[in-house]
Amino acid sequence: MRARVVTAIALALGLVLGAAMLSLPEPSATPVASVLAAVPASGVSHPVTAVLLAFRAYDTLLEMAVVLLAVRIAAPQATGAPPWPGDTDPISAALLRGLVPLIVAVAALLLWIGTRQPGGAFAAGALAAGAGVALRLGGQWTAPLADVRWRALQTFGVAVFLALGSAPLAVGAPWLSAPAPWAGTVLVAIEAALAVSIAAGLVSLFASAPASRAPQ
Amino acid sequence: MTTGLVFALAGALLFALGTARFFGDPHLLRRLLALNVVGSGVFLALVGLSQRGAAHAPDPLAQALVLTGIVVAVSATALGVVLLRRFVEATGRATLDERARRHGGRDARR
Repeated sequence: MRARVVTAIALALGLVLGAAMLSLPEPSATPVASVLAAVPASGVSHPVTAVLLAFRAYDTLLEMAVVLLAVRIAAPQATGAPPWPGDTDPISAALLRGLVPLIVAVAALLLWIGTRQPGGAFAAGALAAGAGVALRLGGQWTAPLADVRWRALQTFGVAVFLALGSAPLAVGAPWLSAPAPWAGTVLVAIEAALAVSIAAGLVSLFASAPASRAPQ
Repeated sequence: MTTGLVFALAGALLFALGTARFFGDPHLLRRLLALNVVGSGVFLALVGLSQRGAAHAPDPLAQALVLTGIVVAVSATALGVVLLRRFVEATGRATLDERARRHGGRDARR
């Protein structure tokens, strides 16, 4: 009964949203054009990367802090046990031996190419995390991810972002701005640090879920 | 009706369906998935509404906002899954207490 009332209210809400969307005025092209005109001055040539790291760098910094927060909250829940009993058979070991270097290479390529084409820190970090998760599932990586070096790896991205973003303050430039001659290099360095942190954080999140005690 | 508007309306539909399940279903994993559906609807609506103009270039600001939103949603879902598994391991139930008790569900305490 309660589910039906809630469904009715939710569908009515959806109808109101749809009506609001249909009644929106025709958008003007000026905001997009002004963003695209400012892209060449930002140090990268892809508009989405420029928006993420140059124009809205504060949003990206807070987003990385949110990921780090989620990782740190989830980390104490880890029991240290692998997701299921690690029986490493030779087929999965051979598959991982071939796949993981390839995945890491593609992740590095995505990171590098993010200045010109879709890619960048998040795609590279998520792909590298996929390689890490594959290693953990295949039983090849059983270390509990609880030591200081691993935690430092997770914090590395936010720390580098803050450091490189606060450096322009010393020369009088605004916070989180990249001065013109070094803009491209600074952004690539920040992206590399973020990718490493994202990969470490996502693997930790995967490893933090306690193992199920009995098969479902 | 441009394709952007079709995507935006689909996003509104996903939002409605996810909200219905989030508030109407007591099972915690289904609520987490419903929250994910709500997030996907919001992202679809955001990108769809930015494509409404006929011959405009794709809006990089909306795409960047959705990318940020996807990363936050993924990490929040991962945290939710970790807490859910810890909850199930600790209590043996997959619903919160008051809802099961009030509606006499399968996991209600007698």
